[in-house]
Amino acid sequence: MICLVSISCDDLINVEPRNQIAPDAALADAASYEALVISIYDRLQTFTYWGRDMSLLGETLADNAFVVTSQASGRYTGTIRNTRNSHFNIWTTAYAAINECNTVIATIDDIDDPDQAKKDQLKGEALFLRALVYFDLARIYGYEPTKVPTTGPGAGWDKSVILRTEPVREAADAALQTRATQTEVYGQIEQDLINAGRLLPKDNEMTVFRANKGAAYALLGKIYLYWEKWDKAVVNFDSALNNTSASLMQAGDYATGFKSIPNDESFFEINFIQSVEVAGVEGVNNSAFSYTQPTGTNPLKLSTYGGMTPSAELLALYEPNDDRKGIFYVSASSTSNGVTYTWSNKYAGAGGVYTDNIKVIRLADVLLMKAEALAMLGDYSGAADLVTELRTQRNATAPVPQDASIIDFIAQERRRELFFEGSHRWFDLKRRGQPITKAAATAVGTIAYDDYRLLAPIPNAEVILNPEGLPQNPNY
Amino acid sequence: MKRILLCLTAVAMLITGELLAQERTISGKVTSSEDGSPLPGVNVVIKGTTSGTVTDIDGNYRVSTTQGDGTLVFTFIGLQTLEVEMGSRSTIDVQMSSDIRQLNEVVVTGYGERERNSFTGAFSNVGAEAIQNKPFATVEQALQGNVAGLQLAASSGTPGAVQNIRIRGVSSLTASNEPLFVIDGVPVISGSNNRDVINETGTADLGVLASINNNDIESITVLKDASATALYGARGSNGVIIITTKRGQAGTPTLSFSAQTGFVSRAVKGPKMLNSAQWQELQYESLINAGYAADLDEAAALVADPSNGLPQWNGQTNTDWRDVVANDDAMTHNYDLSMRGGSDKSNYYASLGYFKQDGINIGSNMERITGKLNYNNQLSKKLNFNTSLTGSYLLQNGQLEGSAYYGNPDAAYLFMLPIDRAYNDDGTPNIDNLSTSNFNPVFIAQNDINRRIQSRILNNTSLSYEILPKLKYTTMIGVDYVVTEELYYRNREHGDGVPTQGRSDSYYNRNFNWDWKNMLDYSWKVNESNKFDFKFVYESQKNRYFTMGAGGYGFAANGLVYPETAGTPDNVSSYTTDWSINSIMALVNYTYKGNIFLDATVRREGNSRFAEGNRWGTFYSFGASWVFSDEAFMESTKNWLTSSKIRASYGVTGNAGIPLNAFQPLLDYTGSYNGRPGIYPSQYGNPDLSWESSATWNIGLDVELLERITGTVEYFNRRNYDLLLEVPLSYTTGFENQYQNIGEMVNKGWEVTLNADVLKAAEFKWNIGVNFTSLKNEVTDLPKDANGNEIGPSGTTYKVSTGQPAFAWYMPTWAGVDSDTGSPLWFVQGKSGELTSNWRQAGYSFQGTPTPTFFGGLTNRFDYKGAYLSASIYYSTGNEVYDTWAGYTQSDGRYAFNGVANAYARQYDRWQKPGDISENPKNVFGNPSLSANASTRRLYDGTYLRLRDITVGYNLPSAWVSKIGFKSLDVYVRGNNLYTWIKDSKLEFDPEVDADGFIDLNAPALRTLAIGLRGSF
Repeated sequence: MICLVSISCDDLINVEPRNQIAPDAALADAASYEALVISIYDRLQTFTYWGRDMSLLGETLADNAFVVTSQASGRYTGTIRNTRNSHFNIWTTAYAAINECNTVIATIDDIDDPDQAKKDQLKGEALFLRALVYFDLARIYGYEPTKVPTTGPGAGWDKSVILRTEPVREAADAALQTRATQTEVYGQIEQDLINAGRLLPKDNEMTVFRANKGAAYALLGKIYLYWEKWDKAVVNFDSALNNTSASLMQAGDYATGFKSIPNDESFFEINFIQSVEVAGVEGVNNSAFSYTQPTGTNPLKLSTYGGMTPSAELLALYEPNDDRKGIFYVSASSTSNGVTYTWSNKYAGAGGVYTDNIKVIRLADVLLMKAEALAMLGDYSGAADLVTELRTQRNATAPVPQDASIIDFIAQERRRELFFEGSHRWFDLKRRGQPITKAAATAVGTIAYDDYRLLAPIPNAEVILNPEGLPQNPNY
Repeated sequence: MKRILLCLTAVAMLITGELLAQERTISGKVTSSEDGSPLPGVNVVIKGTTSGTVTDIDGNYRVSTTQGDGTLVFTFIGLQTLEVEMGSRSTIDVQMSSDIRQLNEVVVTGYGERERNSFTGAFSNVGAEAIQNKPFATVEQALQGNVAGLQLAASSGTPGAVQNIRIRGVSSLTASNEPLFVIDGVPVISGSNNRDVINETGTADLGVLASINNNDIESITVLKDASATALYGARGSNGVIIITTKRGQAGTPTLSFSAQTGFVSRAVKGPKMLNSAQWQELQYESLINAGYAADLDEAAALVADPSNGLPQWNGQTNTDWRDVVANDDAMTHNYDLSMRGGSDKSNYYASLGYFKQDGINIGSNMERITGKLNYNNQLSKKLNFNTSLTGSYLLQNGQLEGSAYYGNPDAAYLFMLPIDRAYNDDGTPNIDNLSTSNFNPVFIAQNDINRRIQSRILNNTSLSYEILPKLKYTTMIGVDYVVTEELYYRNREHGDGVPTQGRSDSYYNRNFNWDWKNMLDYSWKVNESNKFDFKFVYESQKNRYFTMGAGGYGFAANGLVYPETAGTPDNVSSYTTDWSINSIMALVNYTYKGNIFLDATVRREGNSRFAEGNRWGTFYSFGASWVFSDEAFMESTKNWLTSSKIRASYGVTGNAGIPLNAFQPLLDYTGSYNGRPGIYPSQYGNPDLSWESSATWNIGLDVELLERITGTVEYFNRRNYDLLLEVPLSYTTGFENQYQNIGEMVNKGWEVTLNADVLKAAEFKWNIGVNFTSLKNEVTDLPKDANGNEIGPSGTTYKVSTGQPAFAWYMPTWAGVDSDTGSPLWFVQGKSGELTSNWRQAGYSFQGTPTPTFFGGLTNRFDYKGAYLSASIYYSTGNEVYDTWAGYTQSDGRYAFNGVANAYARQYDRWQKPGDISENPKNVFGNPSLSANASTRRLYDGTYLRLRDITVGYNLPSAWVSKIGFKSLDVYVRGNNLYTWIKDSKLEFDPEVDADGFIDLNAPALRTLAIGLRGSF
């Protein structure tokens, strides 16, 4: 009797979950792998990663922004003053994405699906995304290979992040590892992007909302720029420009350009669907819109926690007729008791309330990076031509230098063009080994390049778990 | 000749049958054996027939019978059943004696009944008197103070909110700590059936048990140790609460009714906040202390300058927001009608109940309608049929609570400033010009909706068949079907709905549970001295939960509140979770000479929550009891020690209250990007995951003295091991942690229960009941990380650590205020020695436990003629409670004057000049001293004593009520939570807080004062 009972018992108590599926059952064809790739993009959308912080947080760490404390409800009030531990925190999200990339890259070739083009595309996307995430990890938690400080707490600190390229499927895969060096991580990123560029289709066959060939070359060029391999950077920026349908926003279009979806210049843009990504209180609590628009008095009259404004130093960089100035507006907020501030309308709710797409790579950035690489190779006139090409479409008429001073001019042009996007300013200063002269209003002063705060702290729990292999960054 | 006549009569009767049978009448009077007083309401039935009656007010009865002889059966609850041979008598007077020999009571286990003497486990029983007509929205609230070893803490005072119950302490760190509920033998859905409140709705959980009508309950039995709970396997490791509902009784139908109505107010007033004048005085002072102003004039000018954006008092408004949020007209109502009756072959109980209770905050209330039918039929000599059906409809209007939501009225009253008006001149709520971000709670209560409607059908049906005289088969099926509909609407004009032009979310949650038991009972009497009872059980249970939700924003007009009419739907969700259990069980009881008992239970259980190889667990228990008062050597003490019994039990059970499918690596499907669905690995899994286990010892002594005093003393020791803890993985794997069976904890303590009939005179009676529990909890093992540090749940105020009670408070020790500088002080290390005014340098120490270590209840009842007075108190001590939001409300100027929060009135006692001895440090605008950061300044002694219930009533004399056709009539006045004594004078909140010890922004506990009437005819 007991035997009989036991058989029926096991049937009854074998309950498979209905909302989740065990991996073996689920990942069987290209369609299911596509869903896994989709999840990687979904992780990029996390607000503490590309959903917001990768655009804005670095701006507050550097000199393009000032945060009005009374308006911000605690948002970026620590990073604007570069207080200890106020920094990027992408570790957990990044590695969750990487594990998914690894799963796709390691196993997609094994599935029995005749659609080879689809498999190549998905693998290419996973390679691109793994490169992007490792690049972000490397530049947030470590120094650039050629810019390890020789003084200060980080002198000689060549540690980058943990480099995992195999999926974690069982206990043995989860063994603790040691931080790789910058060169090892950059080498892996380089390899992934070369492969991604080979596998990915062009943006006109895909969409700029997904990884594509042009974006892969542009990112590879950017890696070389950070690595100071100028000639390789130029070659890849050229490949990027040859493999894209992006076009410059025309003169007079800068402010409205940020309201079109996708942006004309985008190589790779993360698409946010209002009903999915900023539903409920997510918008007001977390969106870039909420962080950068005055509460109540913004163009959409929405409540916000907006305290992040362009710094006076940034505003002073524009000549009077520059189109890009038109994206700023002066307004009080409904809680500022009549006190006015200058606000940026770059995040204008183009995709609905609190909803804006995030531009990860766009044409102006690529042009300016290529110009910088040319200038570093001594081709100042080639560089100046590119910068002028951009500036013409922005109605900026001041002459562009034709000598070595163009390198600093490009840095300023990047501020004017790319402020509040991609945390470019923070990473530009860091990769060039330059100190940060904070906005005067922050009263922070200057942060030297060898200051420990150039690197983000690694989550403490992670260090506790693996103190040998994963030492904390200096001084944290 | 006479003989011949009799014979003829007998022959005639045989011929003519019953119709013409000679009818005769038997009458008599039933009195109490103790004082000779008449006993009304006693059932009198002729055995084996349906004819019977009930004694009247004077104890008189009259039955008609055609039978020549037979037996009269007299029954009354609380009295020993009496059987009397009728013979040929026409008058039979009897005396009935009370059944106070509790040791012979029956224990309901849910798997049949056991005689108390033979029961070796630990249990407590609560009778109907402690439950019925109590103004508690959920039945388990009646258990507080009435059951040794059971702690109950309301998660919220919103009527119908889930109650936290801990039986003999905390048994798990991450898995469930809630006991299993069984109604009439069927494990039922408990806890709540609504959506995950923390993440989605921000309202208190609605208890599924709130669907039960208190007045349908006959008794509640709480099983506490392994001997009792091994019966229930992994479901029972946190104790089992068995509810038995009322059944029919043989005799003429009795119709009972009750009506109760009363007022509801706050049990504890809550903290007093600064009034406007105090607030302004402190605002000016704080600006001066911060160096922003040199004197009061400058401070006043600063505040008056609008560019500074500081809230400013107009010199007139003085709003007490606590009064504003209080519902002054809060009421409680309870009406019931029930009927019970039957014969010795079949009986029934039917009832209809209505309950309504307002919460003390505006806008919150609960309403319940219940219907019940219990029916029992002895279909044949061998076949018995029993069924019970309960239906209920419950509507609850709740509020935002649990956190400092801007729309939470309990946050509003702490955070909103007295300088802001609650109402405009025209009487409408003021929603403009509010200094803080909070929303006007009056407007929110009038315009937002937090509504739940819960419908429940509960049925259990059993059939038992006597295969052989000693062999009985029983099959029992129980189904429990609960549907909870929810609607949350945020209005367009003021509050959370403004940014989106209104927002609405609606959820539908269905929970279906079935449980099927098949039982075989066999009784084997070896000889006079040796007897065995065997029971075999096969039981399956399955639970299926389904939920769906929809929501949207953007409403075109006021009055549209459902997602259907939202301009932009943006929330669709639906999921289902199932679990199931399968088990076989064997029980054996051995009785030696009627006073030594041994029993053993083995249960083998499979549970879908675990991986295939770990699904089955074996649980067992042994127990023994010895009624040594029946032994010859106790003969000399028998005259005063009327009964005594010692018992012991040991058992091992599991706890399966862990997340579903925690063992599997899983992919989740909730992600999406660019309009396409995503899959992501959501769980790493652990195929080795198994039950949490507990091994429990229990030793008990039951005594009865002079047939007046009964007492029970128990010692228990429960070791919970293989506790599930989330062991961190390196994030670089893509996962944060993994559940493992690791960790151990011990609960041990004493329970004492005493009940004494101090006076038993005919006219004056006095009964005292007292119980208390002493409980010690200690974590004994935890996993360690690479540095040898323990890994356990921890937060900014607590830490799970070996050698400490679970979730022990862990924070810096407050050392008061520096009388020279007005700075806050903490100890650098421990609780004495060097001081620091820098919070970051303060050392962390263990600061006690959130779980009470000593608690209990005391009940007194006096009866004089028909009048009675009963009072119960509940007391609890040994724990500390933490003021979660004092960081804002006791911030010494950090938040009080820039429009974030108001401050406690106690903040007025602050340091002003060197030499001042004050409770609070120097009051500084934007105070950077971190004086209100986590420390024992915010931790209070949780000791309290509460007058849980006091009732004064009068049973109208039967001579009066019989004239108007009643059997009985009782009027009373009842007060609940009328008085609360709190030891710590600084603790202004209600000390009865959630089991985790955090004082949160929840609806407060209720005080009720009601009048009631009940009767039968």
